[in-house]
Amino acid sequence: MTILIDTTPLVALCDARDEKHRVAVKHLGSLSASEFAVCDAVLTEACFHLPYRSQRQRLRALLDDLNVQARPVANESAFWLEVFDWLIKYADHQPDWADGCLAVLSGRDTDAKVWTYDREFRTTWRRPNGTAIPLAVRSRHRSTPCPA
Amino acid sequence: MGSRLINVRLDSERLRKAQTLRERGVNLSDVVRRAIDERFLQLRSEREPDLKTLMRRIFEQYPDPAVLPPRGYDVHDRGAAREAILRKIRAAR
Repeated sequence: MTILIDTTPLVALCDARDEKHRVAVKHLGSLSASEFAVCDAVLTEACFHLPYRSQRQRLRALLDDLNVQARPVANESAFWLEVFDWLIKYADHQPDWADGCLAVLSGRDTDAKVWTYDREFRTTWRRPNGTAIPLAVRSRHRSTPCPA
Repeated sequence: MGSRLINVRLDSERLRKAQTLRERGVNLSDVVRRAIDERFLQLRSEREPDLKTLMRRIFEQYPDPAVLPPRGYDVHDRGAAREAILRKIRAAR
């Protein structure tokens, strides 16, 4: 199973001052049997929220040591169009590009789960085909992983 | 999905078992694939304690400087995070 990592868990893992740091480390342990993947948009956001050298060194080390895979791996321009379609569909809720990327990637890899602390993935966002986005952890306030 | 052929050497005892399985209609390739999947999952689950060590090592290797300015906004608040990004873009112009 692949875990698509969203911005907030990445930031929480790399910043010990983050309110969700301990929870994120706990989640990382519980998801250890999975493969991890991330998209450019998430890394862009993470770098914004982690502006300092030490934070980015930790992010780099984490990506390397966890062997985090890049997504998508192919059909880049088709992927953009799918994300735009998704953003247009949810325009009233003001999603970000990274939200769209994760929703579309979730639709492409039906076995994948999204690791996020954004409640919109539970309450609002859906895959392009309208089905729910499977989440890797139960909710932003709980530390238990979702059952497989 | 593409696939590659992998040869596996078997001693006489395992060869006998394999022949028995095949005679009973068991697909040996499926047996090997399933064994690889199970072993791989087991290997990954052994990572959990390692991951806590990994995180500790990363923080030891790349510590924050003594004085690190606070972030100044809640990254887990979608609106606040978006505002922070906009502020930085405006400031850069």
